[in-house]
Amino acid sequence: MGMTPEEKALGDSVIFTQLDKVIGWGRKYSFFLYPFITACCGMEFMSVAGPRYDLDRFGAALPRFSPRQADLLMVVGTISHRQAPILVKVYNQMTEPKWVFAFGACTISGGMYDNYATVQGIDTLIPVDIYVPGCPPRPEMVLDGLIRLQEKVAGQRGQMGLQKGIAPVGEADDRIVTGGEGSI
Amino acid sequence: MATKIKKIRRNVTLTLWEQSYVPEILRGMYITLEHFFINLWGLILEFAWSGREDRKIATVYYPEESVTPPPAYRGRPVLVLGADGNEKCVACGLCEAACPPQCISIIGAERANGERYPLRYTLDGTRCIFCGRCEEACPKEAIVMSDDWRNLCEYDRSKMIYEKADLLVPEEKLAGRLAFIRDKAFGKDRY
Amino acid sequence: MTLALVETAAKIAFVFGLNIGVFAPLLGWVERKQSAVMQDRIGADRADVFGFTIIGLFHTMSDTIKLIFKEDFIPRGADRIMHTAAPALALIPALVAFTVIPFGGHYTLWGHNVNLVVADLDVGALFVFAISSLAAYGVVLAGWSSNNNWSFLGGLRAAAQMFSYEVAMGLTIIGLVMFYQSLSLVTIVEKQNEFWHWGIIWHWPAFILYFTCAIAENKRIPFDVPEAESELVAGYFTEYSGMKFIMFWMAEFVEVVTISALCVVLFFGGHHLPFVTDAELISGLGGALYPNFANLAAMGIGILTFIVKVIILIFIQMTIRWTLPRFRYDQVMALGWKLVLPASLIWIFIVGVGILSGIMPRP
Repeated sequence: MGMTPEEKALGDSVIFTQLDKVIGWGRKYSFFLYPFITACCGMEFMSVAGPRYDLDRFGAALPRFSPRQADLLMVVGTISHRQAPILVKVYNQMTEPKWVFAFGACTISGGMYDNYATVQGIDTLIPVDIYVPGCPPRPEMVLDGLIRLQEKVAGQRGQMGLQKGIAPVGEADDRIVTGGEGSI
Repeated sequence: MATKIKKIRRNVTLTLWEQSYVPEILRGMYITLEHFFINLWGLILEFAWSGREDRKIATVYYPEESVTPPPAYRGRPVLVLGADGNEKCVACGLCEAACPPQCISIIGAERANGERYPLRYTLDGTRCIFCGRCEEACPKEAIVMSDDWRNLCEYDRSKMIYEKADLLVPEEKLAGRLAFIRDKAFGKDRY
Repeated sequence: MTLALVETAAKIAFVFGLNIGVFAPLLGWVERKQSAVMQDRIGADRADVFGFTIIGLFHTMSDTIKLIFKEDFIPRGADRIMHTAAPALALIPALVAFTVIPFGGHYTLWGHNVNLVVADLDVGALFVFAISSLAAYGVVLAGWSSNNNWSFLGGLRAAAQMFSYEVAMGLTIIGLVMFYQSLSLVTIVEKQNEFWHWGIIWHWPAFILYFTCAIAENKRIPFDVPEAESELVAGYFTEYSGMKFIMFWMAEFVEVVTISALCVVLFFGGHHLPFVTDAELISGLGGALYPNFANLAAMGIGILTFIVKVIILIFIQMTIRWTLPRFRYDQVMALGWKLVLPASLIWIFIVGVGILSGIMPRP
């Protein structure tokens, strides 16, 4: 998140930190999801959103199927190379601020499918905020991931600096992030 | 022949009353309102009266409550630490061969007394699919699927590559799982 | 003169404060919580301020805070003025329609006659329908100005649906107007002083028809084809984000309240308690000895009764929303033109025959 010029000038003054906390509180308790579901992890997503492990308790229940209105892009399921431009397009269409939730082993690193057809980790395409491993992850693990994402969102500084017009992913080279070291 | 034959209306043309959908709507509303008031009563009772047992809704309030997984549940794979302070793994490489996403990587070495041990044991948590084949392949009961699934999510992918130190768990804590796999292998239900 | 101005300002503040400040956020909370308890789960209840989660009411606050600070988006190639004006055009008619709805009766406070309605028009019912039909402009503009195929389709569907149900909605009320012999909502409420003169007693088919048309007008489920989530991405408000999106959302909730209030005024006796007339209430509260206090208390009870009845009708609308699946588009049109419109015409005929033959005694 960038900082507005006013924030850079005033630095860590108490007004901005308190405002950051309030806005962070608001953002963390109301994620509008965009469930980008392609494969088997969708079953666990449905289970998380169901009555037994209720996703609505964290305020993250309303799936907005329009990228303009969604905050949290949950990439659920394997992304093939054919699907990759669609994912990038949806990510670019989302309005700021936005976060990405990598759900399942296939999205973190390609998972079991180390072949020519699967994208080896969606962080080669779009910046990811939290990785939830599992094949598919247990609903409690997904809620764990959501809680950690809430901590990250609440702790972000410079919440008022909305980045309008930042170069969409795919055109600016410095947004492409390679996978972590040691992946086999 | 003694079963009652139920007359089914086929090629249904709806009566005018049915066409207005009102009876069906009322029937549907009755079902949802029944759920609503029973659950609401359960919530009021829980709040004002006795507590958890009265709650009629099915939700598990994670992270305050959670479900105990059954004995066959496969959580994250862990290396068993024997009583003598050494891992039981002899670096045979069977788990590495059996792993479908090939996420295990072993470099073995020998101790002074001839015992083999893994010098470096790397399990790629980003690729593990929690299938349990490493546990099935291991001849020494040195890697088991524990029932632990907490704190596996990370902000950074490079932190999910687990080395030997992250994977070691003392044997006493895994007694339940070890009993389970012994029962699977030698119990009376084995195939 | 100034007293009348102050009184009107107070009434406007009360009505709009109640609508935007209380009912719209509350309806957002009700939608989540009621659906949750109906679906055997617990809804949003984690947003906490200093450790207090009051059954999830803070979630509406967090939603609002988040949506205020979201990026304001106008698509490339869209008509900027129309895109920005459309949410306002959808929200304002729903609020303005509340000005002719009486939320209380006539009371005499300290020699001054207080009529608890913001604008006592002679043609109140007609005014409400005329203003509600302006809401269609907001939707159509939103759909057209987004420069997006799916929004356009959603806007077209919304226009067709809203216009067809407006025709039927006006006709369902004519039976009531003939019965109460007035178009003014204040007169209609006054005539429902006794319980047996309430609109629901004789005119329950008109209530069913009017309720259906009103829900269709508001584009709530089961008639939410314009916003069909599984068909049209998000229908006519696909390209809206942040504050404009919440204005559409708020317009829908405010219109739920307006519909409920209209149903209460026309069919359920407005602010009257059942089986207790206004005069009995005032005299029962000590009207002979303390007229001002009795009138004030009766006013409070009247407003409270009105709000309780509105809440019951909102509850019914929410239950319908979470119970029924969505109608197909041709089913929506067929219902509007082939069932509701002829039924309302037949009902007008039946009411006419009933009044002329003396079966339905006019109050």
